[in-house]
Amino acid sequence: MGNRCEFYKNLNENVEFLNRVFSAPLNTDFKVRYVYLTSIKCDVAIFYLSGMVNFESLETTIIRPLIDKKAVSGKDSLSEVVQKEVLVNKDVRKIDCLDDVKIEILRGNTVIILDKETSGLSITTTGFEHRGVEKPQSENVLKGPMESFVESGFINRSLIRKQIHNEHLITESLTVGVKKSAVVSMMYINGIVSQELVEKVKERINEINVDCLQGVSILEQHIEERPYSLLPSILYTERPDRAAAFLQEGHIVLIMDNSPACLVVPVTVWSFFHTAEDYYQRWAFGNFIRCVRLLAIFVALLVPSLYIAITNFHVEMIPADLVLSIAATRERVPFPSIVEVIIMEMAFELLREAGIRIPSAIGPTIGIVGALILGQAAVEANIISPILVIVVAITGLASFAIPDISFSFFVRLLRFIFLFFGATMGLFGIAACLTVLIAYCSTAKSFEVPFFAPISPHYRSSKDTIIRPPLWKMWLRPFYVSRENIKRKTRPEGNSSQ
Amino acid sequence: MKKSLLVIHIIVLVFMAGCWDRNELDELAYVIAIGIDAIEEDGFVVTYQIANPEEAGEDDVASEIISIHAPDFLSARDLVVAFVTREVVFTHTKVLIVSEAFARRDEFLNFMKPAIRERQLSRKINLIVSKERASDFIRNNKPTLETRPHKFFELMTDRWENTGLVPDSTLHSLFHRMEEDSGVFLATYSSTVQVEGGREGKEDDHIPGEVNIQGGNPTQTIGSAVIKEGKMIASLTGEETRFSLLLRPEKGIEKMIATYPDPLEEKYRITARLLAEEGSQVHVNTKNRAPTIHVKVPVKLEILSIESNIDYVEDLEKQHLLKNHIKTLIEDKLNTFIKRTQEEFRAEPFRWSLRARRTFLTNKQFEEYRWMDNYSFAEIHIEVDIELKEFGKQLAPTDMKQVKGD
Repeated sequence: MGNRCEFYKNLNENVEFLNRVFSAPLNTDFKVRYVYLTSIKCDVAIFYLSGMVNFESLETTIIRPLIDKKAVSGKDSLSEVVQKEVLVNKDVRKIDCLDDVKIEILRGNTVIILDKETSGLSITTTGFEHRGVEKPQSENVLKGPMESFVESGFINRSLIRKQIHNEHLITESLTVGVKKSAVVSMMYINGIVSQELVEKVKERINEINVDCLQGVSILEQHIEERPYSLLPSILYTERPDRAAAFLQEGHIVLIMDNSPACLVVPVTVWSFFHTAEDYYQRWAFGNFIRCVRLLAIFVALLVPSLYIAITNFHVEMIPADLVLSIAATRERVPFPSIVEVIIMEMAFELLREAGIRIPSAIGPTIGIVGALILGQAAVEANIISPILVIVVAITGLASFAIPDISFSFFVRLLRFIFLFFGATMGLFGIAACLTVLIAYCSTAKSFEVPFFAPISPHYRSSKDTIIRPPLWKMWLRPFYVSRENIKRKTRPEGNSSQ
Repeated sequence: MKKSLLVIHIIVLVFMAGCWDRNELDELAYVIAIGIDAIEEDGFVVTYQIANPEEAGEDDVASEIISIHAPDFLSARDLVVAFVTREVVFTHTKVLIVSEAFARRDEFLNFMKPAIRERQLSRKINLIVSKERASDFIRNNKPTLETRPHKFFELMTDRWENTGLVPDSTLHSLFHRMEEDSGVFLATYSSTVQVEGGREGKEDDHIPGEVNIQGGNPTQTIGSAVIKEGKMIASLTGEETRFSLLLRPEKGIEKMIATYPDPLEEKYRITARLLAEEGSQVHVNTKNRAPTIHVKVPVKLEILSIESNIDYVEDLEKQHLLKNHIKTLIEDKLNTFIKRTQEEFRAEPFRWSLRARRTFLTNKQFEEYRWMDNYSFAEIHIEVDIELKEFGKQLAPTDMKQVKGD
């Protein structure tokens, strides 16, 4: 095979070379179509990979003009003439290196090479099959846009551009890996974004050294700072409106083909805890659901361990009525309560995993089986006590209320660590563990942005953290992301408290 | 390798540091009430009422009551192992019941002292002095509305404090008073044995056992036991208890219902609800050896019933008369009671010492003043400030002639 940059003078030699590169007769998807260009009396070879190009645009914008064109008037080189006078495609590029032909073809473009020319033309005809724009799967809202990203980078970018009409919105294409076959589109708004951040993200992406990169979820693991940490440092969202909102605050959005989502860097803990709905709902309602979610995080994190700690070490904290009723229901349960909790938690995690993996045709059965096993049967068989069903159910429910998948996993896994300390050292253990957790999180950074900013370290900000002010008071962009252009608009007059 | 060793060490450390005082809920026996009796020789009988966690069904008993000889009421815990297979804990103990006979003995306070040190015992536990033996009290007490004994004691202490018939007598305040050494402590006074025939009297002029009731739980809790310097010296009726709470500078009672003779027709009575929305205003002058105390008691009255059908509502003159009448009645009663505290107890249950203490620069000066001794010579002026608040839903009394159809 070998690499060769220069084109051969003879068309056939070029064809042979490309055939060799793509193992042509063997690889039936690699197509070569010859056309005779009557206007300039020249043979033309058209190369494409079937399945990657849109046949209609190939026929109407390349083949038909090549055949139909009767006369040309240009005096430039043949390639230039063809590019300027014959092809009616929106996007044509001249290629001077034979190796680039390979990359262009692999990206779904069509390449034409004219006889006796030492350059080719690459024409954008990419046409993959993909879903239409559908509703988001995991980030649902009741009020607000219902579009979500699909597995096409082109459509995803268009969904974002639909939200932001700004001449400074930049899309940079970065190629990744040794073969340069994967393209990551980096979007940001010039003038808002910090240039250091852009350089840093670019550097991270350039450092990736793999054969192929299948999507943003893989990309996320390549560019994150602490691969072994439970704490996520990159936001994965499937909502174009959220991505657009982040762009306008000076964040960077990364988009790839084949991923129905985008990545947002850098992020803070608040991004994992906020949802788009918080802003679409009116001030009081949005804050109410935020408070519910904040509660959910703590419930999901602490309830099982608190239950164990209190019942095993600090009985005096429970009202007498409750102590007696728990003791009565536990009377016939053979296991210590920590074993009970572990059994139930395992059952719940099983149910959760099974619910995702189960073929959707038999999906409804999981609810029935789960509810029966977890709820009634286990209690009736005296394997666990009824109060424990409540503890585990409320924990499960709360973990579903955490909006971000990565953050939800973070909380779910930490729960077991808390359980361990709660069961060995009681409330003291939980308090110690919580202290360590908060200390750890406060030192974590996502692309140099502290995880708890702007609360710790404290910055002047729009105060959009645990609760948010009314929208018209949020006139500052987050400093910690970018120090450029920090004001969204002028300070609101009148009854502003800022 | 080094890292994993570190992790193993930390885990082992956690296990070694913790776990050992872990107990499952169902492996414990919860003592709800502790009773203490003195017996003639050198010893005590400690009674534990232990809650039965199983729902009280047909055959189940809600609690188990165990009495045992022991040197003190905490060490009895290990002795009961002979009867109880579970570890006995005091985490949910609600009341400590002491027999009157024991409370009147000198060693009473010393015997109570372990209660401060014991971690499991909450300071919120109520102290009850029972007229009979504490073990009998616990055995006789059979709440009918509550299935579980702790519920009875919980509601009891909450409810009775509202009406002012019994004082707030937590262990915490007992030790507080005893340390202060400047007044008497009022403990809840109770009995399960009804005195034969009862005693005629107005609604609150009773000590336990004297209230004439039929049916229900035999437990009667009204009035208080006066504990001076760690020893019970006397008892107060329900009415006297109310007075002592009313005269305290901090707000004690919320509301209580009392009856007063009608000023115009002696044979009828007027029922009123007394609202003490703020505490009494107490001014103490300690310049002289004998202190002068001015007390202003703001009271709001809600008239609930007027038996005599006299129109006190619309006739303002009569209303004024009624007001003054009740004012003098209450003031008279208060003065008699204060006299009793000065002469009989030689100490006050009103917590006026808190106000007296303010008049000194240092606590030492206050201690040197010896408030308790000087109190008996104090000159006390009581003024009751009555405000008639409302007369219920009906204004003018019903015209009885119309009702009877004459």
